[in-house]
Amino acid sequence: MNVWAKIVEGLQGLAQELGQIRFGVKKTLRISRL
Amino acid sequence: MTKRFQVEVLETGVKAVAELLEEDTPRTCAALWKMLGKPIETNAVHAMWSGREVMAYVPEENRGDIDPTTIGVENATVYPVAGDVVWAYFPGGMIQGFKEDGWIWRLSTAPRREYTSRPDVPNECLGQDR
Repeated sequence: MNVWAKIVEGLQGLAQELGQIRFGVKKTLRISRL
Repeated sequence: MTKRFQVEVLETGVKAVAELLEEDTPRTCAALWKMLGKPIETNAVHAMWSGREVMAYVPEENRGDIDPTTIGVENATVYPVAGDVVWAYFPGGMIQGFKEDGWIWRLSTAPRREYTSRPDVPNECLGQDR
């Protein structure tokens, strides 16, 4: 696995959101260039 | 200028920003930046065995003419730390349960504390990752 990017803003909020997936909450990601 | 991309959770509007590590991973960054020529929209899937990572499968329409077998190994780890965005590719059938090729982005969102004897200290502080 290649580490090719680092999250530099919003990590805590993202962790909070994505942790819910384990409990069956659906999350859709949109990944886009800035 | 460092290239950046945004990860947004569409259901809630929560956003995060990531910076590319082009010096460490030039081939990976070139290929994955190309994939982002069109924004990727995909379900987030929690990793089954590897702790606090979330996987995002790259949809067909973002793959274009990229040959993932030419990217190779760059800045590799099996223990991502919080904030790492990781690329993984494996051919179909290589991993149990995956019949098709796996084009995967992994977002590591929290320290892997299960590998430390000090659960109050993030792994990266202990130098146990990578």
